[in-house]
Amino acid sequence: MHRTVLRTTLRLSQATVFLALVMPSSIAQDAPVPNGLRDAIFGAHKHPTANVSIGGHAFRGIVSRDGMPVLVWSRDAKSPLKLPFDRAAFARWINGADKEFKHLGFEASFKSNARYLDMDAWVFELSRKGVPLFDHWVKVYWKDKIFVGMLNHFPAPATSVVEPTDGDRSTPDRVYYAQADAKAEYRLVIATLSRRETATHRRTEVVTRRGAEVEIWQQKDGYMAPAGAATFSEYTVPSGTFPDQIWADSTGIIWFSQPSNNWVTSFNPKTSKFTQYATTGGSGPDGLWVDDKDRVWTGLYYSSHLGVLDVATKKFTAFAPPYTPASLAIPSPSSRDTIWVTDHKNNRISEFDPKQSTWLGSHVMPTSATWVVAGTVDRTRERVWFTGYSSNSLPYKDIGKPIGEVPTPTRGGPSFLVYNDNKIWYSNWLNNRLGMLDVASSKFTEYTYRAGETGGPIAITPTGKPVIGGKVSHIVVFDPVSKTFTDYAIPSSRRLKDGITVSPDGAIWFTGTYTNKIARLVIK
Amino acid sequence: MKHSVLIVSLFAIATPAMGQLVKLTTGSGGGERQPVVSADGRVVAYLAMSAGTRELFTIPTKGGTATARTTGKDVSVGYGTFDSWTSISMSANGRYITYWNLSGVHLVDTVSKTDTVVAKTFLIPYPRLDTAGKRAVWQSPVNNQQEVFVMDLPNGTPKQITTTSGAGRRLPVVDGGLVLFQKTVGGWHELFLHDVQLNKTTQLTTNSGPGNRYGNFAPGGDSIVYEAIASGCKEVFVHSLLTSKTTKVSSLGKTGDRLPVATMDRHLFYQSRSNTLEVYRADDDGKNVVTVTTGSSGGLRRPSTDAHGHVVVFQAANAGGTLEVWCYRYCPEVTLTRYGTHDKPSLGKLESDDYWYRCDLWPGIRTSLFNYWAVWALGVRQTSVKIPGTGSSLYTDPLLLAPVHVPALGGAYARLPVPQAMKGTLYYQWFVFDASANALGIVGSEGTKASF
Repeated sequence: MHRTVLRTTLRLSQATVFLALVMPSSIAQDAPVPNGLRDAIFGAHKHPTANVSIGGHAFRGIVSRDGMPVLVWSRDAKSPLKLPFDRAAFARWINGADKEFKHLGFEASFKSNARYLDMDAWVFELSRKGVPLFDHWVKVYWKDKIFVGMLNHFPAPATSVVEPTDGDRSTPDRVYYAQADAKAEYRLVIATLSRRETATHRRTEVVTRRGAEVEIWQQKDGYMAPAGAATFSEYTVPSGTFPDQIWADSTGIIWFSQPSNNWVTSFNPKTSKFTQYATTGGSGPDGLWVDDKDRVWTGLYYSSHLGVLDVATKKFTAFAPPYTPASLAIPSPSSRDTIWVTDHKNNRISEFDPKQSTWLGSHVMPTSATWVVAGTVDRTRERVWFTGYSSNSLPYKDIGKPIGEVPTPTRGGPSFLVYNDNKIWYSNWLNNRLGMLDVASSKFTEYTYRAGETGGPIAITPTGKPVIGGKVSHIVVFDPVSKTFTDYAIPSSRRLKDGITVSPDGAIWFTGTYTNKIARLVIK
Repeated sequence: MKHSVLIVSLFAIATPAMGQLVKLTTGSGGGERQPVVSADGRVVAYLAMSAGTRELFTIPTKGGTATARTTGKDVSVGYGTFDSWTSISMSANGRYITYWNLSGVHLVDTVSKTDTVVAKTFLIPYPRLDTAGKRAVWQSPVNNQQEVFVMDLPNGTPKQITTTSGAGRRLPVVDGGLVLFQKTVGGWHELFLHDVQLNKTTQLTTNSGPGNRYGNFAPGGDSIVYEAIASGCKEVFVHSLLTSKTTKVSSLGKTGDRLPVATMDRHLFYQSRSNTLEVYRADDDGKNVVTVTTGSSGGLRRPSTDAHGHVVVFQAANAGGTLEVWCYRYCPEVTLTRYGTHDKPSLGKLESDDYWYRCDLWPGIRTSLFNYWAVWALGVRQTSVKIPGTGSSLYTDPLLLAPVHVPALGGAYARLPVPQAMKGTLYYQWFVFDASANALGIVGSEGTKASF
């Protein structure tokens, strides 16, 4: 479609100029995000993309709300960029493009090499005048020495940088810390990493002038569960692809969405039978949640509706959104029998009343481009909480009040969340830390799990243990009593994306989205 | 007192025979049923969908027609990982039922057919009635913390009995003047007992681990049953309120909630995972574990039992996929009807004093006599024949006469095991040997008709 229009338009030189000015994204060949980077950031294939020029190279990419390149790849899918496959040279290239990267004088230096899926990932740390930037980096992905893409994890928008003193430069535990303000903008301030060890853990506290920003715990012991501690059962999805979000109804039937096929699908653990249910055409059922009346709610991302399948009658109904354009994504409950649904792309949350089949409201997030992902409910406070992936925040909504927002202390890309006993547990898409906000004290703590894994969906067991579905190959279970993780290597249904839940009997169910499987994990 | 007297066993059956499983409901719609059975074992309250809303129903445990107790109320339920607590409760005789919806906490009187909002709280209040249906407790947020409220029904004033209880749910239950609830201590929910009259609260458990305790009184109030963490899993515990001794009952090592309930006869029912969650019964010391259900499907079983464990009611999926209410019956429903009159002993008076222990019926007679003999007469026909020389009558044609010696002050009791298959009608009465009472020296009791 784009190309047809372009050919017609390019016959007129004036029109060509006009097109280049207002529709730059249409000129390139619209290279989509490479498959390998689809989950490098949350929902990469759903973000708006733009042409980005960095250091003399033409990229296609996803940019922050202030225009900083976040995830970039070759603009021309058929013609890979000729970037230097040399770590030092690549660092020089990054540093030579400081303005385009919006790095504010922070310089990249090679830190480590990791594997991500079938790619090499070079990790560059960032520092300014000898003081490292805490918890941020640039990651460059290569496949067979060919540049695939680059993830620029730098605070955005960054409004100011505090100059370090000589003392800061000479003190090893001094770092730059991205301190969020009320507008979700960042000041890069000097912080001290206060370290302490217990018999079982290393604890690092990030302390700025305004006090402790976050506590980060890491266990000394290993993570792997003993053999035989758990049982996996894996089931190949017989029809369609891409099992996505998952939930159990009150009868123990497992439900999951298949957006690529416009289905919601059930699985009966007793009979191992899958049954697909059609949604409205072209709908792309995305998030999925089953309510207390066994109604399967799903956000129809591409047809913009909120869908519901009544399990008893098998009748599917789609409700038009209260605004346009809309891309309804992930539904979640409230404390008043209503349904909240997020819209990542259009930066909204909306509340639907199933009794009246009406929308009670739609609310624009206070921070632009929040990329609000998922919701959960605190039934005591009548508060619904959400994750703001791009805003690195936990937005919340009280009855009759405007949306509030709590910035997370590190910028790990909060993606999924659960609430229990005054605590919000959330997964970070970009790192291997489980986040926790104590709602009563407003204190954040993060817990580090196995290196190489990143979250991932999250659920919680009846014993209060958060469970993270790792995006690589583990189910990671956290014990808040001992502050330790135990992880379980997934046999084959690996690469979780959005789907994990705990069924009423305590079993953990998850979707192996890219392996086209669902699986059950029973611990003990 | 009852256990100090001499007893006689009439049948060789020491344990009840296999029970009988009955599906009580059909076509209940989406969501959970959350059934609760009355302490007298006669009626089940449960939730089912009706015209798109969730409503309250009752049905006899022996089956029959369900009765809608609400219409258009759209009853609310707890839902989710930490809301496995059953959302409705019922008085011992099944007359009163509590539930909640967005209007608040409701009290249903099934006799006067009234439905009254007794409190306007709706944020997972989990109201609970005492056995008499005269007192209710619930939780409600105060300063963002769930606190416990108690109210004398139907018109009392709600009284807040906890403050600054911390995170999570209180899940209170009430038994007369005692309220059991959970509260955060050191990060874990621990069980506390509050004496309403003394306004005194006592902590019962420590170091219980994460998750809810789902604590419940055993009928009679002598003990509580709850779940707590042991070796990383939820296990069933019993805490005696008489001795303060805590006993770990189960060693399941399985994931999931147990949701235990107790009878007053030292039986427990709980759910545990086999392939799916199943219902188990055990003695309160953990011995004699019996599998009640096998091959059931659906989410939570939520076992509920009567005071003596005659029936256990639970939810499980039927072939059509909806959760339905099932009743597993260990012994038949028995109706005892008195007829005739007691004769007068030389001292005091006679009083019939039948009771149940599990599936054993213990017909008894209480007197003010000391060191005496009594005979229990059991027959299959009702009669009324005057006995000369006494004020007594023969109220049954005795097929069996069982003597009982009472060496001290107290009552005489016989034991009648009642297997599930038992049907029909029996008649019985007592004769007490009391030389001073009349010319024959025999004092007869009223008759009792036992319909199985």
